[in-house]
Amino acid sequence: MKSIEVESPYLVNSKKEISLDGSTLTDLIREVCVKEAALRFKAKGFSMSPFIKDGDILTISSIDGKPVNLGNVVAFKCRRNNKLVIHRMVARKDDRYLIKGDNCTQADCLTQRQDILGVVVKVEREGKDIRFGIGPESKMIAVLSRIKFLPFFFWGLWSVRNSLRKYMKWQVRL
Amino acid sequence: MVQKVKLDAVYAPSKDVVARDVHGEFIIIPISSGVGDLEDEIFSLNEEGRAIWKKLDGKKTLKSVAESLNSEFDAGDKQIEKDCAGLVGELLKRRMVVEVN
Repeated sequence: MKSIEVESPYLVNSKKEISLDGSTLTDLIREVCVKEAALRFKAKGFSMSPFIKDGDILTISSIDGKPVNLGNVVAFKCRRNNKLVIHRMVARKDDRYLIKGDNCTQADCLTQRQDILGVVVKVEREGKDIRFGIGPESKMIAVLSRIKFLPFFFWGLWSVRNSLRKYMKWQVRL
Repeated sequence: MVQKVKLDAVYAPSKDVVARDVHGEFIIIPISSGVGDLEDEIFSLNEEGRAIWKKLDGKKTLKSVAESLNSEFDAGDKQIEKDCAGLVGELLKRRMVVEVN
């Protein structure tokens, strides 16, 4: 993440990248969410691809008082390895949530609400808002992900798109 | 509106900032329009700035803050006062500190 340049001898800025580890980021998300605000930062990793890609800018907002719904992409601290994880809620049982990365074969773990730091409310890629994946369709994505059908779904979409392209080219030739 | 920095005034960090030490670097993230932005708006303070920030507790006047830093920095009373006023001026301009009445 970059800091902005200010012309001041007091507020130093070298435009260098400030690298934050997961633990610091967890603390920052927690602290910002306590103030009922949101935190905007760069995502790392491929576990939520294709909906969230490495380098996308995420905005995470507090869940204070609000329900965590099926399909929501949440930031939470995984109890198994104590790491900050941003994955999708694919099932709920009582007060526990099953969370899984869209590009992962296995779910993370059953997570309790108190471990959930916030919910992804915005994804930006190359300066544009990416809505597909965190909107109403997220429920369907969660169901497909839970039954491990998401890769087949994408394969199907890709095949249909290719077939349509071929058909259009054939029509143009005629 | 730019507020004038007064040495006899008391200043404290605004509620709309998050500040912390990250691997030896002191960063301040202002929360503007309800968003703390780690991508486009993050400030860092140098060693002197960090020492001043940590003493802005909403109790001591800026003059007392400058006096308490005399033992930590060998820069002379006037220079430390100037630095305190300079930093607080920058922070006030960006609404990262507030004057406490």
